[in-house]
Parts: sequence; C-alpha cells; structure tokens
Amino acid sequence: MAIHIPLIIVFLFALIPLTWLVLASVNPAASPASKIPSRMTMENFGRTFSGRPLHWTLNSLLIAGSTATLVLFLATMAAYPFSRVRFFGANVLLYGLVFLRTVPVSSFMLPIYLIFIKLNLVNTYLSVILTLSVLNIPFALLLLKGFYDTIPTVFEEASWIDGCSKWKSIFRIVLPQCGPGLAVAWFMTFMFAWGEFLIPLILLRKIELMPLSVGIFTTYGEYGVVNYGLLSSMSLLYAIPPILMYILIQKNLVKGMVGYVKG
Amino acid sequence: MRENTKLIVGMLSPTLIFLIFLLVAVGWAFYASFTDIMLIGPAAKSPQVIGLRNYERLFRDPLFYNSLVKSAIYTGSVVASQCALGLFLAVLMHHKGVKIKSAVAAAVTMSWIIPDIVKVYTWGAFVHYEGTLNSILRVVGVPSVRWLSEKPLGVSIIGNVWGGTAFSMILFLSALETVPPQFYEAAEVDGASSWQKFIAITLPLTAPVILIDLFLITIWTFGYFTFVYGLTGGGPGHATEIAPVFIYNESFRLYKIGYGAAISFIMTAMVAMACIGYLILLRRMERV
Repeated sequence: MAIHIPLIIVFLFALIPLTWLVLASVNPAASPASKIPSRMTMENFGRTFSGRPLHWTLNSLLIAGSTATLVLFLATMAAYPFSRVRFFGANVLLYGLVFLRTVPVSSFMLPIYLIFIKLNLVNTYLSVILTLSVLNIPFALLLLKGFYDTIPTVFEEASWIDGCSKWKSIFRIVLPQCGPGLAVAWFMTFMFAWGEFLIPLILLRKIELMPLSVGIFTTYGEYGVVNYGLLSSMSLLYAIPPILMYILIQKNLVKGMVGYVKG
Repeated sequence: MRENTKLIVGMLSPTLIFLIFLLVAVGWAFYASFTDIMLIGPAAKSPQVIGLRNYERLFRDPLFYNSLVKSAIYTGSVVASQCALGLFLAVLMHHKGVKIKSAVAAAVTMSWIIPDIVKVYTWGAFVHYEGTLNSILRVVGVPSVRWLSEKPLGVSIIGNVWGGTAFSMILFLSALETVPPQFYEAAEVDGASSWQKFIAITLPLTAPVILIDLFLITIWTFGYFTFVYGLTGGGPGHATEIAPVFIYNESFRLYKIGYGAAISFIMTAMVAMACIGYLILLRRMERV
C-alpha cells in the first residue's frame, strides 16, 4: 500500500544515525562515515570500562541513584495528603507543581549556579543531587498522586478502626498496593537525572567529578582528533538505561503519556 | 482533625523546604541581576549594585536581539515540523492494515529516548562533512556540504525534529485511540475520502490534544539548551545562539553572570507566560 512509503522513509531517517552509532562502537577505526567495520572488536567497550569513562559512569550512577531515591522518599510522603485530604492551598500547590514541571531546566541555570556559589557548594555532588531532586519532585509527586488516587480508601479506614495510626496505615496498607507506581517513579526520576547535561555542566567543573553526559561532551573536544570508536561505545552504554525503560513500559507508554499531560 | 493537620504538615514540609530553596535561589538571582557580579575577578567577591543598568544594556545589545530572532526561527520551525510530522505519522499508523507500525514507532521513539548528549553526538557525526548524510546525498548526485558551518541552524532544526518528534507522535496516537471507529465507518459508508475523514473527524476530535502538544513543545524547544549547545556551541559566530545558549555563553564563557541573570529573567518571563497559558488551557479542558 502507498501509505507504507512515507513510513519507510521516516523509519530509515530515524534509524540510519542510530545504526552508525552501533557500527562505530564495535569498529576500532571508526569515523563519521557509515561502514561495516572490517574487523569487529570489543576494544572500545574495554576502554569504556576503565580509567576516566568508568569513573564518569560511576559518577552518573551515584548522582542518578541518589536523586531518584531522595525524590521517591520526598514524593511518596508529599503525594499522600494531595490524594486523601482536602486542605487549604492544595489546589494552588498542585497548579504550582504542574507549572514547575513544565518550565525548562535552562530557566533555572543562573539561579542554581548563583545560590551554590553563595553556599560554596559548586564542585560537589551534593549541589547536583539537590538541584536535580528539586527539579524532579513535581513529576514524581504528580505521578504518585495519580497512583494513590486509584487505591480505594476502604482498606485504610478499616485499619484505622482496628487502631492503626495514619502513618502506620500508609506504610502497611497504601505503599504495598502501589509498588509498581513506586518503581516507575524511581526509575523515571533516575532516567531524567541520568540524562541531565546542563546542571552538571555548570555545577561540576572538575574532570573527576563529571557524569557521563559532560564527560562525553568533554572527550569530544579533547586532543584535536576525535576518537569516534570510544565515544560511540560510551554513548551506547550511556543510552542503555533509557532504552531498558522503553522496553519495559513500551505497552503503557501511549496511555501513560495522556496521564502525564493531564497531570 | 488535629491528627490530620499534623499528618499534612509532617508529610509536606520536607518537600516544601526543597521548593522554598528553589524560590530563594530565584530570588537571589533576581537580586544578582541588578549587580555587576562576574564569574571571576574582584567583581566576583564584592559585586556592586548597579540598578537597572544590566536591563538597559540588554535592550541595546544586538546579540540579545540576535538570540531572540534565532530562538524564534528555531522554535517555530521545530514546533511546526514536529507537530505536523507527529500527526502525520500517527494518522498513517492508525490506518488499518499497516504492517510496520511497531517498527516505525520503535525507531522514532528510540531516537527520542536516548540521552540528549548521545543525540547530539550521533547527529553531529551524521551531518559531519565525511558523515552519512553527505554519502547518501552523493549517491543521488548532490555535492558534499559542510553542514555545521554552512547551514548550522538548519541542521540543528532537523536534528531536533529527528530526536524529538516521538513525543508528539505518541501523544497523537493515544488521542486517536479515543476516537470511536464508528465515526470513520459511517463516513466510509457516505463515500468520504481519507482527506475528508481527516478534516471532518480526526482534526476536530484531536484539536485539544494538538493545542496541548503545541504549548508543551513550544515551551520545551524554546528552553532546550543541550542540543544546540552541544552541536554548535551557538556558532559559528552567533549563527545558532538561541536564548538559553546566549545566557550560557554570556555567563560562563564571558563571565558576565550578573548580565546573564538579567537575560535569564527576561527569558523566564516569556516561558512563564506560556506556562500560565498552558495551565489555563488545562483548566478549561477539565471543565468541558
């Protein structure tokens, strides 16, 4: 059928640059040109798992892991009152969170840098983890509120009658029921923090503190000659968590997007 | 009731402290935009308040107007292309009997979900003088072009369409699933063409989602720093210096962070207005 032709063109347009990336990562003599390597090796990946690239990977894991855990901890608690209790200012706060989730990171570049200069925390992991946490709280909170909303309140009410305190009922009754929601919130926050470039670029200005994003960017401009093989294997490794995420939530992505937009 | 209050305060306050920290940072930067603070040197340690001078200078700075023009061209082209292509793809894939739907969706989504800097690197190699784009063009007889120095804004725009269209596509796919298939069946009985079905059924029923999509990708593209900065750094010269890259270059390459803060506030004011428009739209839609 004729409608396949534009789809095939788009398919190729999307895939050709990615194919180059995969081919270059196993080619010890990679260049910008697309070609099947005459000799396929794991050499580039070997160098990705040693020295600076390995160090950068560990930095990325540390930053993204800490951010995701901190955000999950804060958002799990904060989302609960929004879902269960009517309180003064709840609506204004919710709109504020949707607003904050929509504003691009670059709007906060200067405020974040200036406050951490003042606090003398530039070039610390703490500054990046705090910043990425603040910026990701709105997303995780709104996501978890959505999950809480789907859980009927009868179980909690029953536990209160049995003498369970409200705090206890949250940990014993509510959280176990939204395990998948907690996992999604953690993993999505991990992914956002993992891929972030601008915040670590301005806050971590020492080579040994950089995460992979800034590391890849720095390597690109180094030494004059670009090492496409090494950069491609680093990039592929760096792309694994989001690709994994996509495979996991593929089926729910279309539904999830509607929920995301409607907040 | 008292137990409820305690619960709300206890659960919300840690998060509120984080959000207040961000507000303090924004307030502090607003103050800094009225000073001559620099990244290095004596004005880094003891900045002087210079009143509105940063803002006055801004409106006389040709590079500021340059960044607004580049941002307008960049954002306008990217948003129009992503939205149109996303809708086109979603409509085609929604057709019955399309065999390669999931393969196309996977390829388009894959170039979207990879980290920003991987997009930059992969796209940069694709449009490199010795890269794949030129070798494809050579096959059809077009001589090689130094894309990044001759058409920097153009390749930035197309690169962003390559790496960003998936968002609109997925959003429209989900919107199309809510259109009752009976509408199309009825139109087919009446002998409507594909185009007529699109104009009379698809477009009006997905209009609110299209509006949401336009708002969101406009805000995000306008504020999207990494792709253009990574690809060109704003150059050559100032050819691709869109607003966020201009702020970065003035603040961190030329060390003028007080001035950078002033530009940042003008830019954020524009973003904030668009965001408020988006919130009003969401509110209206919930009422309908």
